[in-house]
Amino acid sequence: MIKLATFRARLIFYIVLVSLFLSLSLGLSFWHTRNILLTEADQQLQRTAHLLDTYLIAERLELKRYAGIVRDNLRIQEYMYVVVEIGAESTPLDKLYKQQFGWLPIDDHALVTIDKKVISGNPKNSIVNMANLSTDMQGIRLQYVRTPQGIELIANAPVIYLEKLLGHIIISRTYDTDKIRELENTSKGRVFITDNNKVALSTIPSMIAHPLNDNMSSLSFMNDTFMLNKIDVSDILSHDIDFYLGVSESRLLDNIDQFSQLILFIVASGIIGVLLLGILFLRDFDKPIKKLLAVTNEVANGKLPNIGKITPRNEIDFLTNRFSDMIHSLREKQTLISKAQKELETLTITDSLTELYNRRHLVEVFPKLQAQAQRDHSPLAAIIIDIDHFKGVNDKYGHLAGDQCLIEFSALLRSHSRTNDYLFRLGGEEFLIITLGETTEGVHAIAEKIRMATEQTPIRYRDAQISMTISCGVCVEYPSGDKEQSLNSLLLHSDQALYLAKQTGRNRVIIHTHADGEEHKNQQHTKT
Amino acid sequence: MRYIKLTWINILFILSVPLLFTSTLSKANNTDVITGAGAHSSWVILNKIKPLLEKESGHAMKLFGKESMLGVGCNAGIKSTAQSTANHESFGMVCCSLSDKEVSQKALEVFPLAIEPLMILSHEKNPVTNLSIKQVKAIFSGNITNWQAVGGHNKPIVVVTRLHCKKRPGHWKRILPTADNFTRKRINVQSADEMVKRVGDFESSIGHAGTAWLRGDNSHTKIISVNGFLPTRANLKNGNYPFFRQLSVITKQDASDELKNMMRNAQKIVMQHPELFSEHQLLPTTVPVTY
Repeated sequence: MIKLATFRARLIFYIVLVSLFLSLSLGLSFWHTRNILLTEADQQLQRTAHLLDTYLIAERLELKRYAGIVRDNLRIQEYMYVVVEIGAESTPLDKLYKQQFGWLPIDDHALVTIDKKVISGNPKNSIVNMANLSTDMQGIRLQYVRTPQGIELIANAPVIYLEKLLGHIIISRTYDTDKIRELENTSKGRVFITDNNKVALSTIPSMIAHPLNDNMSSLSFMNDTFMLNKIDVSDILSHDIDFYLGVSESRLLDNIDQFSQLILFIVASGIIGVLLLGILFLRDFDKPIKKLLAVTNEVANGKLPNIGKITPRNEIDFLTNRFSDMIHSLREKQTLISKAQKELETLTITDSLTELYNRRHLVEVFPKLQAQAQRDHSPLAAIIIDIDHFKGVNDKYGHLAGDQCLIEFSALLRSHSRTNDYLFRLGGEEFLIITLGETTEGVHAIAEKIRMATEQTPIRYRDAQISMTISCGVCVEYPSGDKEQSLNSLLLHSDQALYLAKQTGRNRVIIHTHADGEEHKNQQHTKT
Repeated sequence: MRYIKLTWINILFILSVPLLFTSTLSKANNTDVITGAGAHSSWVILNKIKPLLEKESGHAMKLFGKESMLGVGCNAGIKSTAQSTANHESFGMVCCSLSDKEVSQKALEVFPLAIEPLMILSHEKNPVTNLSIKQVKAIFSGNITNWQAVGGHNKPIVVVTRLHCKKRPGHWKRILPTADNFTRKRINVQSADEMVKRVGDFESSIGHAGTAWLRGDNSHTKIISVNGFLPTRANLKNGNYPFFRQLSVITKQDASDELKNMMRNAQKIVMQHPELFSEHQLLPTTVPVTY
């Protein structure tokens, strides 16, 4: 089973699903409609054929009626009698026919004797020879015949006067291409008249003499095939002449093809539309969600990325903005925490009164200084300072005054030390300066400068001026590999020098002298 | 069903029949109007003297009969007479002599007005201008069938007849006594109008009609003299022309004296004004013709 873990995957899956559904629905619709079209075309052909059949029947009845009207006219009968029985000239008969029946909507006529001698009408009329004269004294005979003019519908009726058969009236209606075109306009189909299963009349001249297909229900011509529906004219003498109504399959298929193209266009448009919708959905949902996911990942990794606020247009934008607010809040909290942590760290490594580093920080920072000195092949120097007779200050001015003295002495240390010097309060009135890369003379100068500044700068506390002096023990050493030993050694030796400074009268700087060399001899500096 | 040609004659006939009867009935309340109906030839006479008659009698007259055809002619005259009532009197116009039997059975009183010659008509292109009585009879009987036999072209003779009033004497019976005597190879028409048209249609035709029927200039017919005499009033009067008929008006025997006097007055006027009928070659007479 496919796991659709992401919103994007689900969305794409849904888009594909909707596209497939759309294609399938329209495909089925097309197939169903195509079948309807084909069925409807067939039914339409039958209906139209029925209409054409009705039309042809009406034409036959009409022609039959006209033949009856002529036949039953007494004057026609009399004049035929005069011509046939008395032998008078036929001109009056012809004139009479034109006067009386010239209005009839027929194409040709002939009044003939029993032996088919024309006594009215064109003597060379081909319908006379083709007419199968009715032997029924009352009947009117209809027939389709092929003549040079086209296909003719002929009606003939016997003319009787004084119970004697005089001859026949023959009238006809011609089916030429104009007539076929009229029928086609009426039926909206293609009308073919065939003679012995070959096209005898059509509005397409090149189809003349073209045979029907073997199944007799279709006609293939050039690149087209016509579905044919035969019009039944078996009720009259038709001499192998048949009427067919045809519908072009190509035209039908063209219609279906056009329909299929329309369906394809709709499908393509639908899919493109769905894809565009999907893209819009992805843009509106997936992109902000991915952004939120990335932000949450960064937050999870301890970062607080800056996501700007946007004008909210939907729930996702609102969520993003809320998330931005949340990150901003977290960032503020983190800043507070960092500040508090830094303060805590400061409190941990500094003396709260003098704000100088405490002894704990000395232990922490010394390995770094030692490593630096080893990398640089330079010495480390320590100056231990102790305020002389500080207990007497406390006793005389109070502890607050003592604290003030410590504070101001620390400030003095900061002002007279270098940036890269480390200043520590080791405890009580005892301070330490660690410096890197200085020679013994340099360190001594620093210590001496501090001593002199202390001596020359009395502390003002309320109305009193408190003068102080300091004793300094200095030691300069190249550190060994052992960090703890190096620190202990440096402190021990500088402390020994301080002790010596105390022993020798205070307010002085004593440099520790190592036992293994001249370079680091004890030096005594006294106040002059 | 036979197709009936709608000619002006037929239309007038169709219109005239209901008019004839409805007008007769409608006059039940109008004794001042006297109606006459019947044959065309007699109508011609009455129509000519109508103003004089109305003036002298003080009654208005309505006449129906112009261009009458078979079945509406004499028979309509008899019928009009029979429908006469005290409140609305009517009389008939006939173109044939009535038999004594018919007059007696139908209690009619006949008022002869004139004698009308019967024209022997032929196509104008026919070169024959005269026939003897025998030749006429032979042609109508079918014994002569080609004009060549009487000096014309070699063309078959087309006989056109109008054998109306078969039970009444005179008229076409002056040519041949019965219908059976006429050739079967003929065409029979129902009115004088049709007669003239048929004869005018066929160049080799022959027919007959009373002179009261004016043929018009475009009929393509001509009159053939008989025994060298044309059908004129003069030839009738001196007995040279053999074919004729009598025109009369008839009333009921029990008709009012006023009507009878009116008919007698008509006779009188006809006799007094023969010039009125010279165009139609009618010979006024009050004496019944015997056959």
